[in-house]
Amino acid sequence: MRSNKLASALILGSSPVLIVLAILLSVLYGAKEIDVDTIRDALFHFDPGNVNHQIIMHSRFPRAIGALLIGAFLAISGAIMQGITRNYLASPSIMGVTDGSAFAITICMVFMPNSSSMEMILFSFIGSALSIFLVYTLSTLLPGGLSPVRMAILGTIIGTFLSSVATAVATYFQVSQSISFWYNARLHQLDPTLVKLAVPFAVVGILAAIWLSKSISVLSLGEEIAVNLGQKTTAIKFMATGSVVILTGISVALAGKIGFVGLIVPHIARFLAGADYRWIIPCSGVLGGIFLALCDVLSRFVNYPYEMPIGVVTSLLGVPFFLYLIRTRGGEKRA
Amino acid sequence: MLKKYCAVLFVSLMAAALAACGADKAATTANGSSTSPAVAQEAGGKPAANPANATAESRTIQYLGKDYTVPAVADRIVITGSVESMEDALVLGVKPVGAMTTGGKFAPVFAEITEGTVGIGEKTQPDIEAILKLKPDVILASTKFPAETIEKLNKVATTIPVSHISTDWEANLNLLAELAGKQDKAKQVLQTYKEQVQELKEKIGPIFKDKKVLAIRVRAGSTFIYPESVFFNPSLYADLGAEAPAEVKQAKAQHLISLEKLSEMNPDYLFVQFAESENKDTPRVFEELQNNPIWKSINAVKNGNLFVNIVDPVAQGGTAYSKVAFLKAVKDSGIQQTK
Repeated sequence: MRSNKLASALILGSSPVLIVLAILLSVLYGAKEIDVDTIRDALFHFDPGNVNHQIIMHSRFPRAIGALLIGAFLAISGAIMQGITRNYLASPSIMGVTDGSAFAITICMVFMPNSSSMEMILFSFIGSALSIFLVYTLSTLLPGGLSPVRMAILGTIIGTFLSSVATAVATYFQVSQSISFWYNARLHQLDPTLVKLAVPFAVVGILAAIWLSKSISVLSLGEEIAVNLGQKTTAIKFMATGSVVILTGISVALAGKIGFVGLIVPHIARFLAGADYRWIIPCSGVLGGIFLALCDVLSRFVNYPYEMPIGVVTSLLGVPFFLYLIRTRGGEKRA
Repeated sequence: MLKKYCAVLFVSLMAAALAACGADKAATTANGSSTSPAVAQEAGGKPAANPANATAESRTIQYLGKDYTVPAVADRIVITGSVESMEDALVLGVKPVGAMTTGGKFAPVFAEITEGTVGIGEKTQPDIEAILKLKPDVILASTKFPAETIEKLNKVATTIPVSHISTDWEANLNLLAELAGKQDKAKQVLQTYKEQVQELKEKIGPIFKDKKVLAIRVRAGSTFIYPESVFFNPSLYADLGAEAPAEVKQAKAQHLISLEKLSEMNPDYLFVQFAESENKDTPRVFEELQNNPIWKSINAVKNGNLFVNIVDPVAQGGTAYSKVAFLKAVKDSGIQQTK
C-alpha cells in the first residue's frame, strides 16, 4: 500500500497554524471594518453593549468555526464514501442525504411554516436519516443490493425521487425561493448556539471515522480482499455510513448544500497523502475545514456588500484546481 | 420468505405514497371540472360572440409603448403570473374570470374579487387548457414570464405582459381600468394617493431627513434588500422623500445582506416584510432574529422604529394597492409623532 507519510505529517503538523490563520482571516475581514484592537477587546474584555464586540463573538467567530467544522465534516464524509464504495466519484450526496433533507425541509416549510430554525434543523437531520434508511432497506431487500455500485445507484434513485417530490411540492406552494435560500446561503446565519449543537456530532462522527479508517483502507482494496482478510464488511459499511449520516446530516442542516468539498477535498488529500485512509481521513478533515473557511471569507467579498452563496465560491475555486490536479497528476492510475 | 413480504410491503408503501400525490392532483382537476359545466354553459351562451367581438368591435390599447388589440367589451379577464394585476383588480373592484392561485387557493387578501373566479394554475405555471375553457377576452400576464409562455397565451387571447417594476404602477392601474371601463375609479385612486403622499411627505419629510430609512424582506431567516425601484422602495424614497442608502442604490436585484452588514448600515427606520409564503401567523424565525444581540443593536430596533409587516406580505410593493396600504400604514404607524 502506497502512502506518503511525509506529506501527511506535513499537512497534519502545520494544520494548527493554518487553522488559526483561517480563523484570523475570517474574523478580521467581514462586511464591517473592525480593527484588531477591538477584536482583542472583544475576546478579553467582552462588553455586551458594544456592537462590534457582539459582531465578533456572535457572528464572526461562530461563522469561522462553523465553516471549519462543516468543511471538515463534508470532506471526511466524502473520503469515507469514496473508500467504502470504491467509487472516486462518490460523495455524501450520492446516498441521497441532501435530497432527504430537502424533502423534509420542504414539507416542513409548507405544512408547518411556524417552525423555529432549531426545528427546521432537526427536520433536516431526520430527512437525511430517512433517505439513508430507505436506501439501506432497499439494499438489504434486493439481491446483491449491498454491493457498492448497487447501493450508489439506489441512493441516486431514492435521492432523485425525494428531490423531485420536494420540487413539485415547493413549486405548487410557491416556497421554492425560500427553500433555495435555505440551502444556498446559510453560513452567515451561524450563531454560537448552532455551533455548540454541532460539537457533539463532530466528536462522535470524527472519532468514528478515524477509528474506522484502517478498516476503510482494507475495504477500499475491494470487497473480496477485505472478506479474505477476515473483515466483517457489512458491519464496517454500516458503521461507516452511520458516521457519514451524522457528519453530512448535521452539515446540511446547519449550512445547507455546499458542493465540491465532499467530492474534491478527499481527492486532493489522496493525491497528497497516498492510498492509506488512516492518513486520508484526517488530512481530508483538515484540508476541507481550511478550504471552506477561506471560501467563506471570499464569499463576503465576491459581491460586496452583499453575500454570495458559498456553493458558488467553492465551485469557482474547486473546479479549476481539480482540473489542474487531473492534468498534472492524471498519469498515475488513480481515477 | 420474510424478505419477500418486506419487499412487497415496501413497494406497496411507496405506491401508496405515490398514489397520495396523485390523489391530490386528481382532487384539483375534479375541482376544476366541477366548475367547468357552468363555464361551458356560459361560454355556450355566446359562442359566436367572442370572435365576432374581436373582428367587429375591437379597440386598441396602449400600454408601455406597445399597442394591443382587445375586444371593445373586455369583461372576461384572466390574470396569470401578475400579482400586480391582482392587486390592481382589488383596488378597482374588478372580478377576473380566472386567476392564478397560491398552493391551489386564492390568497385571503383577494377574497373580495375572487368570489366565483376559477383557478387557472399557479403563479408561474399557467394552465393553458383551463384558460382556454374560460374563453377570455384578454389575458394579463407578467413580464417575468418567458417569451414562449406569452406566445402560447397569445394564441388563446390577446395577452398583455404586465410590468413587475414598481415604477410602472400607474400604467398598470390605468391598463386594467381601461380594459374594465373603470377609468374614473383609477383616476380617483391616483388623485387621492397623490394628495395623501403630498400631505404625509410634508409631515414625515423632516423626520426622515438625514435619517437612514430601509425596507427589507426576511426570507428563511436571511435578510434581503432591493433596488431603489423595486419593492416598497419607491414609496419610501421617491414618494416620501427619504434618502436611499448607498447599498440600496447599488443593488441591481434582490440581494442577501448579512446581519453584520445590516448593523453597519444601521438604519434609523426599518420596515420589515416577510416573504409571502412563510411565517404569516406566528413568525418564530423572526422572533429568533429579534433575540440576536446584533439585531438588537440596530438603531431602529433600539429606538422602537421597527415596523414589521405593516402591510400584508402578499403585497408586491409596486402597485396602487400596496402603495395606498403602505401609505396608510406609515400614516398610522406613529412615525409622525416620534420626533
